[in-house]
Amino acid sequence: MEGKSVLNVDGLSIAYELKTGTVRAVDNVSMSIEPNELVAVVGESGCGKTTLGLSIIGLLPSPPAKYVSGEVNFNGKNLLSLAPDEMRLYRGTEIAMIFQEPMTSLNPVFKIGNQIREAIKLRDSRGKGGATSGRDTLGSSSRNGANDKKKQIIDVLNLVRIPDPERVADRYPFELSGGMRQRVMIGMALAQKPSLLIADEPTTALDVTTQAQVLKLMRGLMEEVDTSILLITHDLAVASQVADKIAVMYAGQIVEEAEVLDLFSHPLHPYTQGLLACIPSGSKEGMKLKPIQGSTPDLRNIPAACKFAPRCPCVMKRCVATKPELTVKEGSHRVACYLYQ
Amino acid sequence: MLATSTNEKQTLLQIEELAVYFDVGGSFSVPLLTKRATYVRAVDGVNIDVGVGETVAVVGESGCGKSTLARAVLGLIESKRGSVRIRDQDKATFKHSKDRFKIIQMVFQDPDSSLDPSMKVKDTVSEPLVGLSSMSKDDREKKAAEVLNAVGLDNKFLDRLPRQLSGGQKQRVNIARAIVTEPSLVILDEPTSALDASVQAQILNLLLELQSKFNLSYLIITHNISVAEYLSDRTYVMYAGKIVEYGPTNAVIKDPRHPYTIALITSAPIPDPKERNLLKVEIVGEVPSVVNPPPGCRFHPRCPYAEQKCSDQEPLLEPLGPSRFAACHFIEKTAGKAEKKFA
Amino acid sequence: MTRFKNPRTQYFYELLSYNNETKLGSFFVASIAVLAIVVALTGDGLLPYNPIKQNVGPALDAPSLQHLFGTDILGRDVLSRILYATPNDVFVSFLVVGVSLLVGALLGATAGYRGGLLDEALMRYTDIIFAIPALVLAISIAVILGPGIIHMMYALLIIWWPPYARLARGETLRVSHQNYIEAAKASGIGSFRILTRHVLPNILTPMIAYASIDIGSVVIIYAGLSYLGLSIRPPLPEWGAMVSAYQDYLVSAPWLPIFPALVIGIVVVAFSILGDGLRDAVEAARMG
Repeated sequence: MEGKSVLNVDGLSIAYELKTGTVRAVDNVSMSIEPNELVAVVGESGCGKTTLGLSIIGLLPSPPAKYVSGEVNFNGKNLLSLAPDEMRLYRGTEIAMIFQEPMTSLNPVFKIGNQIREAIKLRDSRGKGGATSGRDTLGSSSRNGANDKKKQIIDVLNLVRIPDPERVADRYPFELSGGMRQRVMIGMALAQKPSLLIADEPTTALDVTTQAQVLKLMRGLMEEVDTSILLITHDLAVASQVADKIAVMYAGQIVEEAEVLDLFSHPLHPYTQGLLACIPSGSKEGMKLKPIQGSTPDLRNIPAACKFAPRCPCVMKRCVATKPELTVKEGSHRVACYLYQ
Repeated sequence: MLATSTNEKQTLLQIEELAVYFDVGGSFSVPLLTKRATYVRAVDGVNIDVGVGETVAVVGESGCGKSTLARAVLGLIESKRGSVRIRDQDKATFKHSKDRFKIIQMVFQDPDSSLDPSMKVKDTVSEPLVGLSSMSKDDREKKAAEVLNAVGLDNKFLDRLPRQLSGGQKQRVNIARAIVTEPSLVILDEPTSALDASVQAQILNLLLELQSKFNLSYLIITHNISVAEYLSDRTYVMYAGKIVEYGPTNAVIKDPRHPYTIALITSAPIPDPKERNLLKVEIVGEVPSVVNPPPGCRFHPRCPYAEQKCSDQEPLLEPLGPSRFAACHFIEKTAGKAEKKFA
Repeated sequence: MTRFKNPRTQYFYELLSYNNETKLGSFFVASIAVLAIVVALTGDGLLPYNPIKQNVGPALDAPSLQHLFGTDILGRDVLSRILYATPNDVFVSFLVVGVSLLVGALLGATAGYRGGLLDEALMRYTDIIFAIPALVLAISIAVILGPGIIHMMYALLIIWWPPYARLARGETLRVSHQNYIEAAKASGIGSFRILTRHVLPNILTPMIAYASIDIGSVVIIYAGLSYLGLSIRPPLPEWGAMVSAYQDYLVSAPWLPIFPALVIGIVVVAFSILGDGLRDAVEAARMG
């Protein structure tokens, strides 16, 4: 790792206070993202990956969420120590986020062009370079003519390879397909050249061919816009196709993290191995799928032990006594499992 | 269960030239003034057959008409033309669609909206017995419990409400309801799309188990290539209301020939970072409008091999090999184009 | 906390204890209902004084320990009269809302499910009713029919069900596109059973939330109509009528009009609080 990490999450723990109990949604998570790196956080529903993403960009409603401990260091600065006003300066300009359902992210009563214009206006009002760095923003200019704004809007649409951008800018969100809307969201997010783009299940609601186009676009834009991406997904196959590094989450914890080639050739944690064995490939005659037995734990009644122990085919006495921490196995491959400690 | 050869295969279901159109005309003046079509050709002349004990997959993306196809086969919506035959009986000979429902049932998409939130599990599962049989209440409850056990849920689930169930459990209830009347064919509409990976695997295995236990035939509607490959014997590829390619699943997926099939197969992410096929995909554009589909071949605006003929004349399904068909004027251009995927 | 084994009872329990408003509202509404039933069953037996007999006590007496709400011009204890009048308003409002809910639900659900001519007819009829102010309509009908509680109830019933029908229709439209309705059809279930077994139970909860606020509205309108002299005949007490009869005493004997008015206010607020809370609970339940 050369240079400073773009993002460095250190020992982050977040809990939800519910009427029925306290849920440890994120449990002592530490991870980092380097410049121009695509890190995928992979896990099934309820594992805490969305909470993690929202907490980084400061969109976690709190209450009911509570920041128990840890830091979120962005380009060296701990975001959790900032006042809401200060954090707002980062949001959209330095850290951007896109979500699963683009229909609800775009305002249905405004044309696409108007919404992009609003995003550009906001960015310009915060100063050319955004909150901290002197980074050049896409298409920004100190002149305020209407033509310039129009050009900036078209630039954004061209960035995400939307055909016929003039016409699209004049349309309403409902007139566009899901894939186009998601591209618009990506365009709006990347137009300000943030250092980090958080994408929460960006292609889950899209068709397979559209998903391929959008993922290819995102990966390609990383270089062009000089940004890093935190991709949150439940789909390990998708992650394998675009990520540099993968962190596998289970019940609020990162249980394994490695460079993508390493993770697939040497999956260490039994959960990772289980996930890989779940992906159907080939016909039923070829290889019968082996599902992971049991189900995800109720996060309200977490014993002080390895959270995967009840379902683990390799469980040992130690595993139900204490919780294994994420430690380095080799190089950049980390795993939280007593099989390796 | 793999059919040994097409000669020995007994046909259970035969869909012939099925077409379903939806009227979206709005006011009556629109067609008068503009002379434009105002109906959606959701399904436009589809031919599919399913053998006894066979699993057939229909793959396609959103808007291709596969869900509409499923409902038309089941009998929930009227078709504009074409027929659905069960074991040589035309649907017209069914006096009541109830008879059809006894033979064909469906596992609906989205376990959350497929279960009545105000109804207990045992009532949901036994409802088909209420409408389609004359069993007594006690017998119905017994049968419901039996079928719930078969899908892996024990008796304590009988009195639960859907909100007390997980996604996987809801889907099991869904499946139980579909097989309680012992149908011959079960249509599965995106059976695992809303589920987590590990739950998906459990459900897929359950489906296989039930198939051999109850001697079922499956018609699976999905956009997920790996699910189609895992479960089915033959696969049909659907695009904009039409079948563009079909054949044995192995052949269609490992050696796709129709340009759309190639795009579809190569877009599906494989869990192998060494084979980054996704980043090499060259598909452009979006699924076309089905109100005014492109003239000629519906895929031609997005096809890298398209020529003039493609917009003039719609290609018909031509044989490519044993039981393999594709609808493309220039099918020879695609031989060997798709790279090998699975090891 | 799972208090009840039966999941449906548990569901209602959770709904009613969802937040402070529902808990508080439920408590008050339950108290009022219990009071109404007790008074209806025991008549004036449990009341401190006879509410009807005149010259029982000193006339126009200010509130004191013997007469907590004072006495009126005919020497009747105001508190007893107010308590005695409780079943009147409570039953009328429950009845009007209950019947409106039922009729509205049936009509609206059928119209929403089947569509077509029935749907159009229902929509236009309710449009007409909505176009005319409720109070004006009620008064007109009451005047035509003549005074009396029963006639008053007829008047209210005629104008009260349309909002429920619209609400039911809207909810039905949402529900009828759910997959479980299709699954019921594929199970050979006929339209009637689908309506009663699948649609109605799933549209009722938001309607109940609306109804609980609505009961307060009936109380106000009914009290208002009584105030105008269209309902009850003396000497039977009724809250609105009492306010009307005593309004001239606002300066000289303020307890006379103020207490009945206060009671009307408290009852309406209690129902509103419950209804408000239920609305939030329904929203939350819908979110998942």
